[in-house]
Amino acid sequence: MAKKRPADVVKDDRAFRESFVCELGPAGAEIGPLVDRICTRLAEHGIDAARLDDACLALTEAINNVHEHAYGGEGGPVSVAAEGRSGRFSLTLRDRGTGMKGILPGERLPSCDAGLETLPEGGFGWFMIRQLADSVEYSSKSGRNTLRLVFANPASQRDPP
Amino acid sequence: MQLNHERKGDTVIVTVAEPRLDASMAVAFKEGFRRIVGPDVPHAVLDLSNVEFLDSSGLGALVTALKYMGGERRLDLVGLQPLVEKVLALTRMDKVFSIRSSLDEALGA
Repeated sequence: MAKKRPADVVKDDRAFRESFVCELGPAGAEIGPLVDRICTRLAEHGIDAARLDDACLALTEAINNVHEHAYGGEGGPVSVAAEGRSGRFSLTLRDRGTGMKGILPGERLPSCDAGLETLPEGGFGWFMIRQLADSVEYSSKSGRNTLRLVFANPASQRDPP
Repeated sequence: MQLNHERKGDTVIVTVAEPRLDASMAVAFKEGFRRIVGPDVPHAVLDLSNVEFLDSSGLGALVTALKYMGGERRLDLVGLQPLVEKVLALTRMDKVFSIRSSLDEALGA
């Protein structure tokens, strides 16, 4: 694909494919700026505001998980490939940390019914990813983990199953 | 992490002066909220009008603040931006928190 001048990519419905790489440090301070950078580009590719929020949130949760769990808070490299067009796009997150086995977490919300003292202070991340993306695929092979999130546009709610 | 605060009668208003309440801010927020509000204040209002982005770690920090207040004391949230509202609704935490439409409403209620 020919490189476009910045003026040409504003509200463009042509297919795009871009990769972003980042070395996460132990504090994870790079996550916010990385997601901002990706979401700014998605906006330039014509993704509407509601889906953009969904994508930013889901991607933040996914990278937080990589930082906290796959890399155990010690940092490491991540890459994000964004591709599609404004009507349908995907974000593919890759890392080289510890992979997950079995079914993906977050099928249900942590229980909030047992009173104030037992309210969950975590465990929302995977639930949010599943709610925000239209499809979620994960694989862990030979030390490489891949999470692919697909978003359909412009619906901002997940399609009914 | 910058938290501003103001006391009005029995109420402490805590304003998050940051555009994001996320994983990198969560620990500082929990500590700051505790330090500002203290154990004896009966009513705290958390003004989130500057917060454009909340992730699940930021949400966890809000839950920690709510638990810190306990059942006897009140915590109201005001100034929710659309994405913050969305995260609370998605996780059904909008049913757990007391969300007020304005600071005046939180102070008058």
